[in-house]
Amino acid sequence: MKIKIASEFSTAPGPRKVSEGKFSGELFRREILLPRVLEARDKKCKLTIDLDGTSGFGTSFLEESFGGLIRENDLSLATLDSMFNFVSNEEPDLLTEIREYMEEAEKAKGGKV
Amino acid sequence: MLKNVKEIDYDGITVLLSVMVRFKSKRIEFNGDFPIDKAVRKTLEDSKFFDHLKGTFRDENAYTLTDKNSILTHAMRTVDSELGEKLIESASQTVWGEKRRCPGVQRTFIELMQNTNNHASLEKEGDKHWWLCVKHIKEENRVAFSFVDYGVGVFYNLKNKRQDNKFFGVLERLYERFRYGNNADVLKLIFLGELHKTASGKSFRGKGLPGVYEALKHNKLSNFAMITNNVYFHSNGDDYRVLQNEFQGTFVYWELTLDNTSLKYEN
Repeated sequence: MKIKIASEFSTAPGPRKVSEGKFSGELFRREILLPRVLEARDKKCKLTIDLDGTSGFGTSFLEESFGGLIRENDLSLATLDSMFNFVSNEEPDLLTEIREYMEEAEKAKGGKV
Repeated sequence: MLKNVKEIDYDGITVLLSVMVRFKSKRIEFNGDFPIDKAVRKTLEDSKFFDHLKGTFRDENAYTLTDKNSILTHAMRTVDSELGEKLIESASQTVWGEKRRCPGVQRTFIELMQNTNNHASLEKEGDKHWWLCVKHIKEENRVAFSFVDYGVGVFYNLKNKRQDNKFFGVLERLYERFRYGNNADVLKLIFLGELHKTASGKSFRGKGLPGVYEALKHNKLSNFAMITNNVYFHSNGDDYRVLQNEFQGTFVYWELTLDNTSLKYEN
């Protein structure tokens, strides 16, 4: 399974929360990411997330989307690790950044990293 | 009072415009004199500032002030990533002669807008406008961006965090890192991500201002300057200073030039 943010959500991902502006991380997580994660979990398959092709990401969008899966949707880092395959050829640093957000969310929940 | 102004650039005009709209939208008279200096007067005339001065403004969530030359001014309370995308499309045409993507500039837009939305007011989120002015300098393949909000500013905001906020007391802890520390020293630490590290024990690579600073360090933007409360920073020469006069709010200036990195445009 695959999500390409630029073509399925927006080429201009926005802020953290819906109340803060269009194309928020909250909206992306709720409408696209979470349903696809749950489907991939049920089917026991990998989920590729392609970050290329957008005009750029704010930090809060990434934290809310990926950290939010752990914090708000009660998924574990281990579950997501076993499923996610990120593609970011244009901005490879985003992969480390997202990893930090996910680890921090897991730690905040008392999980082990 | 513009009479004695000897030098003005578009960042100054952005501030002037935003103050004028704030006054007029509250139905407070906004008037003054004209600059004696011919060059200053011409810059103001070219910016269409005097045309806007004749206009009427209501208290609205968004403003767009344009002219036929090359200056665009936008104001909003929320984060508008699509506006950022559009402005970069047009800026890249001025810089490179073709549409390109500039994720560092887009991140800067989003972080600054998000900061204004979340932190400019101590009372409620989304209370204050941010103002963004874009000036295309075609003959130099350069685009200048000026961003301003009249919120409480970075340091006043941090000083006034509630006890249940994760940043409560963080400013004092950062001051303790310097024997004779001041806000300019602390801004350096904030850019390096130490604010989050001090508050949460974890250093995030990007969040907020550090995300903007990283974009600068990776050559995604140029000639970056910031004024917030009593601190001034200019990236040329890594110049941090404490100001004698305090600015209540945050002002940021940066440029996109031929030297900056960019990505191929995709539809």
